[in-house]
Amino acid sequence: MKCKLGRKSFLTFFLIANHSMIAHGECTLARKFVNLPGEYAGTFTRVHPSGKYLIVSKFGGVKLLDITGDTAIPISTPMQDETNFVQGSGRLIASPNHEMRMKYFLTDEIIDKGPDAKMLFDDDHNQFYHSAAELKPSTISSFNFRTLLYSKEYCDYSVQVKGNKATEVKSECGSICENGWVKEVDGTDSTLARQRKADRKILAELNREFKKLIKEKKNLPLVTPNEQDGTRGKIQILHANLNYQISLVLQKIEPLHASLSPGRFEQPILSQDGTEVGALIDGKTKLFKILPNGQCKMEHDFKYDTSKVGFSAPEVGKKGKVAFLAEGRVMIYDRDRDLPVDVTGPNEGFEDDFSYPGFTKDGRLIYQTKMSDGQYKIVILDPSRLNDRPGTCLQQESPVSNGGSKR
Amino acid sequence: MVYFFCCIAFASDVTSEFLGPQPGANASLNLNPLDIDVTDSCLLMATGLLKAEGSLNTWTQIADPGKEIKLFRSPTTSFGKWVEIEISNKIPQVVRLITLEKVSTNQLVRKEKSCSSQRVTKSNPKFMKKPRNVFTDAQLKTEMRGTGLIYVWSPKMTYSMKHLDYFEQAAQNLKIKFIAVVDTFASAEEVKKAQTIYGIQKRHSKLLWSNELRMRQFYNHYPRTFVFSKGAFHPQLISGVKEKSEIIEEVRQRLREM
Repeated sequence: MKCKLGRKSFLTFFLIANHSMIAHGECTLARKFVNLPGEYAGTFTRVHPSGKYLIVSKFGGVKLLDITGDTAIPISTPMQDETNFVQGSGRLIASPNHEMRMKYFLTDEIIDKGPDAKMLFDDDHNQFYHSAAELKPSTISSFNFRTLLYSKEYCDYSVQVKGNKATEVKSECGSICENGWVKEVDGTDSTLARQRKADRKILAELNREFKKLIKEKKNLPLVTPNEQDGTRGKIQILHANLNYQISLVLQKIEPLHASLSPGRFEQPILSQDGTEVGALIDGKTKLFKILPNGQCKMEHDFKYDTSKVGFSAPEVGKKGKVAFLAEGRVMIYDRDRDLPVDVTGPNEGFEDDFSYPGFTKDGRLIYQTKMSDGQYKIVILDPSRLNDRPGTCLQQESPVSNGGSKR
Repeated sequence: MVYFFCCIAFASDVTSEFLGPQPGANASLNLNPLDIDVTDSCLLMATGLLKAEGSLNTWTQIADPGKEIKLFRSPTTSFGKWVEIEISNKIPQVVRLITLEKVSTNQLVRKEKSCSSQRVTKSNPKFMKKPRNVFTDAQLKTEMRGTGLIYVWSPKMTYSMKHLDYFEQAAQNLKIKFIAVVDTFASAEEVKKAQTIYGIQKRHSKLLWSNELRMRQFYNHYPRTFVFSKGAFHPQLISGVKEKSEIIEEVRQRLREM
């Protein structure tokens, strides 16, 4: 039924409508832009804790970008694939897949010698999607850090260094989240939740059936070689029938067990102090505390799909922030205020083009993007101005721009 | 284009209709996956809009647009056509219809016990200029009559190019289809470079022009792989590259679960 709206209700209508639209990209934080030649733009970008350098991986090659000036300056490297800084001091870099080995380089060695830099050491703890973080502050002569692989296997390294050479490398390895965690059925993904609920019911019935068959089998008389009256053959048939039924039940149980296991673990990434991990579990991003025994305790369940997350540097008494890409937007989730904010700036994200965002040690967020004019920029912004009001800033400012323009 | 609708929507027992209970599901309020206030005056209008668009009410949560705003997405009875609902403090605020061509946003507005809606329809910004050599929803629907994998790669993500063959070999091992497509926004230059460096074949280099897969979130990471069988997707995609044996096992598991 159509009807006319009065002037007053018309105004109310737009006020309410506009209020609920505030959240989309309206937090225009003060930001600085650094020009980025398009050939170095890539989704896989890692931020040095100082905010002075980025690692960019593209077509298998890796550049270290100096972003201290108006335009990023590339430094060639001997590194490859999805290379990562060892988070913390950022003095180490982990480069994977060198003949199935992980090579570790000193960042200063890369800056000084570029492609001729020599590795500090290498190790066969190597796989795609690794991440690494210092477990305690490094010194001039030592590093203590953790490297996690996508398979959930980790190694905690203790490395002694003299000059640019490793004099001693010790490691203790294990795996995280092996036994899962307190599983919460996600009521929002109704298909999966229904399926899991139904699977559990079927599994419980199958388990009961399995126990019943085992009990029947135990109650059957043993087959003895001396039976002469035909009983032996009958008992053999009963045993065979039960074995067949048990095997059928086991065949049904096995895939159900798999689907109800702790979950499919994808896109893992360590926090900056190596004590937390963010991962996609059964398609939903979750954050976990890694306990000393490698067990995981779930800290936050986003209940939706995102890119890999980036953790902010640890702060005493605070949970901190995580940043990620979702729906073609750059998002920050402030864990202390339970506040998700879209921090995508004006004219950013043309053709969904963003790199993974990463935090510096002092809390700035850095990412690459393609602007609406087709130019690539590195964006450096200060999320400390995020306000409690959805999508707004503590202090609204015009962008500090040397290239971007307002949307 | 702007439309104005106005209706009276008193609180009524429409919960089960809104939930669209699937066979075997309990439609009581406590199991409402969207946790909506059933006394809200716009519930009936939201329900009507979703029903009119053929919503299957199979909801997946999408990244929060802002504090206390939840976003859910569901397929409809039409392939490639999806609906979304934004909920703030248990109150539906927006119902959206998304097709490849357009995005229609219905803003729900309350006044006392009545509810009105404003519809704004715009072109879908993710599919503005159709390039050549694309893989469309129509092609996807045809391919999905069988069983197989849709692998989405991007020239911006090294592993998605380097290990495409892992997934192709897994599909061969399982004797199922393998279709590889490229991120919608990849440039011709980048795709050509990927073909040269990683030997990716042209048949695996069509640009993805599919709202169905966009709604299923192929874009938060590359590669992403969808498992399908007899016209349906497994609800969980495979995110990233894995070892070959693991890919085979994961696909097998999903096929068993379908």
